[in-house]
Amino acid sequence: MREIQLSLNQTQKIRLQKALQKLESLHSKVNSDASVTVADTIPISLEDSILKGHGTAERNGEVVATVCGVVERVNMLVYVRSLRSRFKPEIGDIIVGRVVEVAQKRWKLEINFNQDAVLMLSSMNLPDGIQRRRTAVDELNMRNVFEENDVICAEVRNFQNDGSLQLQARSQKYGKLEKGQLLTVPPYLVKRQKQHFHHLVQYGVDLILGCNGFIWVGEHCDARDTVAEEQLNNTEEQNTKSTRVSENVPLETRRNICRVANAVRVLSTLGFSLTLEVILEAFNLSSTLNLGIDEMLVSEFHVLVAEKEAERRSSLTKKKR
Amino acid sequence: MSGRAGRRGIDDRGICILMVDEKLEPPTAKMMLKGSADSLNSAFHLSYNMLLNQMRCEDGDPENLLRNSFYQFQADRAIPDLEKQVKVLEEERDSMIIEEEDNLKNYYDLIQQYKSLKKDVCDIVFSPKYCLPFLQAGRIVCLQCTGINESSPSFSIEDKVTWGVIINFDRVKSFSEDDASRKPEDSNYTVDVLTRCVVSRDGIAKKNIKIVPLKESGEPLVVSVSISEITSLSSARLYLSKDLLPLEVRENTLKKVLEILSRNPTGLPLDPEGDMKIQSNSYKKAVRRIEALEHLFEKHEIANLPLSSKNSKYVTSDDVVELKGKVACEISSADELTLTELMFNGVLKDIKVEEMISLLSCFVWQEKLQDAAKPREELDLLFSQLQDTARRVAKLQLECKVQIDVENFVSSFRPDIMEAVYAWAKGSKFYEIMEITQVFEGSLIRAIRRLEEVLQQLIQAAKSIGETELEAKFEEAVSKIKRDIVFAASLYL
Repeated sequence: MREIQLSLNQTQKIRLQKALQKLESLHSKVNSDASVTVADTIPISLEDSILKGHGTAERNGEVVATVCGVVERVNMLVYVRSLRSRFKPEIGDIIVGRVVEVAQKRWKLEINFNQDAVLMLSSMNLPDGIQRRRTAVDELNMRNVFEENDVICAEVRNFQNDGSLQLQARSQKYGKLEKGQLLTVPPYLVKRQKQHFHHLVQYGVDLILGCNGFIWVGEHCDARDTVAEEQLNNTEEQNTKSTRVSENVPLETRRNICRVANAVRVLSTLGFSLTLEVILEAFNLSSTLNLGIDEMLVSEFHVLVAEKEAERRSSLTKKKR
Repeated sequence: MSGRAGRRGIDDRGICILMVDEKLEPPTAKMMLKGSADSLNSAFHLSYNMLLNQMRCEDGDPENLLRNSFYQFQADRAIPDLEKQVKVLEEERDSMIIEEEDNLKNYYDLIQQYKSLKKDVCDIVFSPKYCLPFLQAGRIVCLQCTGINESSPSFSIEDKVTWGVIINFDRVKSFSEDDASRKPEDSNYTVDVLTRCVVSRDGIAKKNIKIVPLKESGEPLVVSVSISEITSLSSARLYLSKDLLPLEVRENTLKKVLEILSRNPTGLPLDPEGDMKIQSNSYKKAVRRIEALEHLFEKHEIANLPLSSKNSKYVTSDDVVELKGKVACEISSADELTLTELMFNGVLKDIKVEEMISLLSCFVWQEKLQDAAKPREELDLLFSQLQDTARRVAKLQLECKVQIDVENFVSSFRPDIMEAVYAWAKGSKFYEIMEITQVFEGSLIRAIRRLEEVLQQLIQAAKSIGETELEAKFEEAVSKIKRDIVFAASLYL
């Protein structure tokens, strides 16, 4: 297990070790011998016609692994699922990215992948909302929609020939993200789930878990009304734009945003998978202990979160039994 | 009558002259001209491919899709009629007054239960596995008299039974497949029994033999009965004389049976406990529902389709699409579930490219060809593997309560053009393959083009699971069939 980057004193180290061991023991090790490293031979019965999937290769008549991970079998398909890897996109994934370039009829986004993703102008809803062909005027006005360094959330539409992603943002919930924080976590901590958009009602906070490891925590917006916002922006002076953005967020919401963001940071340092329940647990723990928001990043709190999580999961498994 | 006379946008009225060259009834002509149009009934069907693709996106809501479809609209409109039918039937039922209804109902229920229990016991006792050793010549048996109509309800516990003597038994040769593969204990048997019968001849000189109780008038005859008509076996055995042709011999045998019966009225039945233990006393409940409201099952169908996807590992329990599901998302031109299963079972991996192409042709050929030639051995073997996979998929769907007919589903895959496509993949000319089959040229060309579509989708699917060998194989297959007149963009060369 990779070393957790925390400065802990002796007792804290022991407590953390105990909590992590408890978590490990809760997971039934069905096939601990299914984990392989590079160049390990994968055991297969030679009579069957095995399909070799991702992470495998044939060498001297044997099937060997090319990555470190766990061997998975689905009928006759054998593949190696790596536990810790670069972001591996799938069609339909929710992505949060930052605009790096405004190119001809498209925006280039940085998404923590080996190539920048492309968001075509035609995959984006127009400000006035009508469905029509994009003209040269639309192309010239691209900068009014998204500029460099804007944060956007979108969905993966398909892969291009060179392996880069093509995104689409044609729904009301995709689009520019404002009034919040962008966090970077290792992408393998965000598992694919049914829902990636979470609205924390009692705190007025939107939480978007991008599958590429970019997490957005921000003030809640009902529907991304690019219509109203664009018109407002055009009529007002440009210099009041930035003040307008910051003055409308109430202090309490800003506090909650920071608290949620710190909870995510703590969990990513500990290496726990990010799901809504875990994040809310950490949040509630910090509120019940009356910790200041900056005090959440202290090592003591990390250890407490680990212990709480171990408790929570053991009580869950007990309930299931 | 459809169509329009007059120039569009210019004439506001057109004249149409009908020339009738056959005798036409006036009502028929009236219906042709003034009748209503064919009613438009929605045949909307949510395929697995669509369902999986919806689950892949965060926003996908297949229930919404179904709820807003025209099919659902028509179903909802039909509800008032169905409710009226339900009311009418209920009134009819309520109007039938029987005295002492409750007691009678209890009694009737008890009888039904008793009968079904007895039937279960009989089935177990008389399964060939257990009773064959006891069907020896000379054994006295208790039979059902003919003329008992099982479907009409009877209010007595006693069946009309009689007694006879076993002469012989025979295995029924079934005309269907796999006679040799059926084990002896699974086959059906008929037993030749000597008992009293009444022979009547109807007008066409056909003999109609009825089994009657021993004491009634009739002749002693040997008849073949199936095992299901035997109610019980006796432990008594008679010495049979070798020759049963003379009437007196038969008469004497029956007299001996009557004697044994008079001494032991129960007939000394064979104890079933001696053979085996009856392990389950299962009481069947007969449930009758009014069929009319089943039209609302369309709503249940959505709930059942995802269930079968979950059961076969296409989707996890949290509705996240798994690897198999992703493969099925790619395939839209053919039956996605069977094809995915086939791919994951490695069937497509080891066979040669031409054989794989001809196997895939079974997925794209939907017409029924009369007397099609059977394909050659290797292709037939592959086809039977395909049928097994299809059967498994259908059974899984059935378990998840999707309304599907297993045999119908399996027989929707037809091997009629396997030979022709095999020859095409090998490089024959088009006129050569037209000599192999009797299909229309256009149908064959359409099938081959659709096959190429399926192959392209399979290439994408193989890419998503990372099997490079299979992907290369599919690409080779595409290059083998995409040539010549079948894929010519235009016939004006």
